Amino acid sequence: MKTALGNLDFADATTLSEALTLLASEPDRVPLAGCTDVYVGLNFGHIEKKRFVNIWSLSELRGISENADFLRIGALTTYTEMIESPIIAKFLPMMRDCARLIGGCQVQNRGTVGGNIANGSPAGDTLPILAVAEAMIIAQSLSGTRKIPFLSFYAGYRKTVLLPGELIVAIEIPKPPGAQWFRKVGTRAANAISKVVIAGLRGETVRLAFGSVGPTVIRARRTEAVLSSGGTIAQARDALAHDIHPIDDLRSTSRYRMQVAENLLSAFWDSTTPNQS
Amino acid sequence: MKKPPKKPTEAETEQPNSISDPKSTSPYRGWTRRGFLQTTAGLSALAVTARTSVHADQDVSKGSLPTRSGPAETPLAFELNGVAVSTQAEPRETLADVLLYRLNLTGTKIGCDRGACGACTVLVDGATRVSCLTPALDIANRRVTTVEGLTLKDGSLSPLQQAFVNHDALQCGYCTPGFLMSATALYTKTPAPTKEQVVEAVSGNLCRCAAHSHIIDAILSVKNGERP
Repeated sequence: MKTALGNLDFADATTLSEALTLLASEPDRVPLAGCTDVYVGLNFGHIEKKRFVNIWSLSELRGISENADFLRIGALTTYTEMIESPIIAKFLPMMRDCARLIGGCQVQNRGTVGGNIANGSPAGDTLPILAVAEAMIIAQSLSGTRKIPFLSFYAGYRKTVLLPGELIVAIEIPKPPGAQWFRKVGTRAANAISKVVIAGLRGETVRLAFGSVGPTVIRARRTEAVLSSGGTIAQARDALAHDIHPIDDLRSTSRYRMQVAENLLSAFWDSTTPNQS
Repeated sequence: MKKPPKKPTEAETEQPNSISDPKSTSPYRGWTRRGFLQTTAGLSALAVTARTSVHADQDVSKGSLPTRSGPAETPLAFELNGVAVSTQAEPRETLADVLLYRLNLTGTKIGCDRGACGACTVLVDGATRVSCLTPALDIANRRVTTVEGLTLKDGSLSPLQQAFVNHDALQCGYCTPGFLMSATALYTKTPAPTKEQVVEAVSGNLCRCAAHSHIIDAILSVKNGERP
């Protein structure tokens, strides 16, 4: 049996108040839900933390709802639930496209949107969507609830601005204006970690975000400005080189990622351009 | 609760019919790999067997949740292939660990141990899960189905299993239990899937022998639950 996993302390919260009370007194506990990231780290000895609080059974953190302006997605909503949701299909189809490409069904049944955010991997597939949709993170602790703009949620590589004792309970997503577009490029079409991931929104203005090309998800502001002010796609591709600075790592190279990111930008532009003929 | 007698291992019951020659001896050749591993696990293996009991008369769905904390073992009760199971698990153990090492159900395979290959796929409350990333304690009072649970009551293979045989849908077979579980879950939701739906349903399962096309054919051949 594995040895890297010794001496885990695994508290099992059955209500949100239980979870928050525990996190208030033991803020070093890592919240655990679908385990699709944490247990990879544990199985391979990459995670040194040994104290966890399992929040998987908190049904109050599940579900998708909408009002006139926002979608609200509970932090523990799984990819499968998003794939099957009529609300997501209607207002955030790029999230459905994205969720279908995360892992296989086995992982989609367990992985949660809150976990994708909290894990903060630069390759997190939902993160470019939340960046272009300008989502708000709802974080709760015993001392109250606060809304954190998604675009200021990461302070650096896998670093979030969550305070000790705070738990992500939901995200609020303003109904996105314009055409939505999502693509990921990995080793294979599904069930692979992204080498480059992009979400785009094309309405009166253009919003673009890339993952796997920097320490956190990146909004491509210069590229957006070029396209929003009527610039050409060639100018936008040039601007993109100032927005993102991909690195070489085990999954890909800087050069490949830059080329793919530019190609994805062109593909986004082509496929969201209304048919002129 | 009475502890069941320790079942003899394969190695203990097996009569070696091999010979001694310059390359090896008869007793050495008589070991099966699993029997060897079980026996050399020594006292800890005996302890595991003694601790684990399987009985059919306990309603796990109404049981109260166990207090879960570590690092020591805590009791774990769940329904496995239609039978109530009580065992023990530490928080560090995954569902795959418990199935393989505590319950000695070797059908579930660990391939990558990181949720990327699907070989360890099982059903929890009817939905596919990678058992290598599922904490064992998280399945308390839930319903688990493994490949061992697919076989029909008369001992014959399920239509899906038979279809894999008929379509030559495996070479080494290590990925097969995972594919069977993913396909079983698909048929529960979608009785007459299209090829596209089949491909998506098994997109989390990898076959390194590259038998994918035969696997897809096999899964499609059991449309509407008909025996191929």
